[in-house]
Amino acid sequence: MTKNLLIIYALCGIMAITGILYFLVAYGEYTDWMELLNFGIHDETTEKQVEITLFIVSGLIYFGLVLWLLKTRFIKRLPYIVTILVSIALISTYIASRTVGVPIVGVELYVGKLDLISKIMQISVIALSIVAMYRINRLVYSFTK
Amino acid sequence: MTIISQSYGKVILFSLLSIVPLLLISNSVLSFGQSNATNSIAITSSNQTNTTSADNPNNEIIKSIDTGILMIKSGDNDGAKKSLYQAEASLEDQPNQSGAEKHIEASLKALKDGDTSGALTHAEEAKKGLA
Repeated sequence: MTKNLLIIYALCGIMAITGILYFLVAYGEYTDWMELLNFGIHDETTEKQVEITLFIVSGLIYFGLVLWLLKTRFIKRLPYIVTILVSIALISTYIASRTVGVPIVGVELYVGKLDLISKIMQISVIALSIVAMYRINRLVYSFTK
Repeated sequence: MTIISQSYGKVILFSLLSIVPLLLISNSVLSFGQSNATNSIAITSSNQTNTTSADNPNNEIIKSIDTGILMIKSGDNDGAKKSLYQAEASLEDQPNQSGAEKHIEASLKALKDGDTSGALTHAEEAKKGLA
């Protein structure tokens, strides 16, 4: 296996794991929401619904991007660019939620284990996407060889 | 077509191979941070003073948080969660105390994550905000 293909497969694997992590975070938020309702706390409902939706959509986007990369056989630049932009947007949203606050949710004060792991994954996704884009011509050669 | 089906297999294989080292690395980093945080909590707890006063309207909430803190320290995380949820429920109609509420939420999330020191830090911060 060439180094280029190794990078691509690692990228797709990490993106799939990031998607799964987002689903796990969404499930965590759902259980939190149910516990809050059990204690008669209703003012968090909108916040939790927004968070759960955002995390599910983010997870689906990562799986969609993996499928797009597979469909284009890793040789088009656009899926990599979209992957980088999506990852940057999600990391920026996360940083904003822990510092200046985001609409509806406000400022969150805790940085969880899953949060840290997913941010490490997303930084890896950005790095690997940039490397893959620079090596795209050699990648075409790897597939046609 | 063969290349694409091979690709799917390899993607799944790399998914499994890449998650293991990342999880191991993150866990060791967090454990290190946790032990450092525990030391700082021990210091702050020893210097802690009683923050409740007779005329404070938030005394009941502070008591709930205090109970939560004691339960966290005794290892009763479920009991601690109940006390912290009670405190949060009491704060529901007090928008001016959103800072304390956020700290209680953070404490609950830390408890869920198994981060006892983080839970204690945020519970103490919530108490300070109400004192």
